[in-house]
Amino acid sequence: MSGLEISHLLLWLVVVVLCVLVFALMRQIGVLHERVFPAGALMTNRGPQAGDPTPVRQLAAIDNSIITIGDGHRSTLLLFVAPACPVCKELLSVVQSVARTESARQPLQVVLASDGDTGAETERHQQFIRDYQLDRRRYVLSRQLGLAFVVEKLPFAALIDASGLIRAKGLVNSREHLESLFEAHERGVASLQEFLEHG
Amino acid sequence: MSLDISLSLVIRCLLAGIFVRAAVHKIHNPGAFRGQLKAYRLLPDALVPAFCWLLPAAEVAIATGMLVPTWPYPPLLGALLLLLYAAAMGINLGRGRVEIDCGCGGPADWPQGISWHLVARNVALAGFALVAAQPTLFRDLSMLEIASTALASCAVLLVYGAIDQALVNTRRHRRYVYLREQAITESKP
Repeated sequence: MSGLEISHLLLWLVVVVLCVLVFALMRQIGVLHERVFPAGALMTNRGPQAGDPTPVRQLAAIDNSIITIGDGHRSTLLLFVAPACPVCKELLSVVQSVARTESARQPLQVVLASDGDTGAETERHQQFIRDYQLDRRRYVLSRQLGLAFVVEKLPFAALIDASGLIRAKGLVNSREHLESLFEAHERGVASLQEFLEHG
Repeated sequence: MSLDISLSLVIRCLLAGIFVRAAVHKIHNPGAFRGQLKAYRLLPDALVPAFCWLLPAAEVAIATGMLVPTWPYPPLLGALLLLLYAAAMGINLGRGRVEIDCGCGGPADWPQGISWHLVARNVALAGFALVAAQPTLFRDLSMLEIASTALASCAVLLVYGAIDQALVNTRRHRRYVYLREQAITESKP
């Protein structure tokens, strides 16, 4: 091989190594973004607070079956969603996987709640349930419920323990937020704000 | 003027890599892909399940064919598929639905929303595919040329991956800033 050929090959090797480094750096930045992402769900100051009893104990699902919140042996994850809310859709698959993980630790029921109990809107919810293969026995349409929890933004979640006390609640935008509700339940830190104040 | 074989091979490797990754992503999580396909609201519901396996299958076929340098059809079909995806994203952006997951197999499981960046990316890739579909000048490559073609392919794929990751990072960062602002307004009395 001539000197020119060797240097040519060498340069290509350097280019590839540099590309590997750039790629790794980008991945690393991605990982860092994930790490600094707020650890807790965003809690609103209005409505029932963590530690308060749930304002509603019995709910009627969309197929008219009765759901009991705080029935003495199961925690309830109440997730407020809407067919028109894009983040909610992203969150649905996350909820299922988080619920599976958490169910292994404690008995848990996931209840999806939305408003719009009038004719035309109900059809949109039915479509939503079909599209995302949701459980009809755990899907509640109730404006009252949203009002009782003072839900202003979606997707909003509340974790209620077996005795019917609200353990954590907040706006959940990601898997981390949702997991933070369970973590809050275990550690006793209720929200992102509380975490920032003390941490 | 015909395209030199080494250049054609680099482009073909890049496109094959992209299609394989996209297909793996779709096959790996068929449920999510179904949802994404549905969210585009372009296909009648009855056709969604069929397209759920048709698209990844087409991607794998194109990626495989791409590696046969004498074959001009895979790059052409690849360009067509890329432009189809670009059009699907463009239509939904036109409808103002920026939030749907593009389903294009980006890094991690972080949903990558559709954007004009991605449309531009697809159009650019389709342009490359069309270049690779041009008549190719076949000649015997020296060992050195084979080595540099292989290394250049690696480099191009890595740069593509890095750009893809950068786009996801930007989106993630925007979401973080938005969330922080919300937290600050919320904590004010």
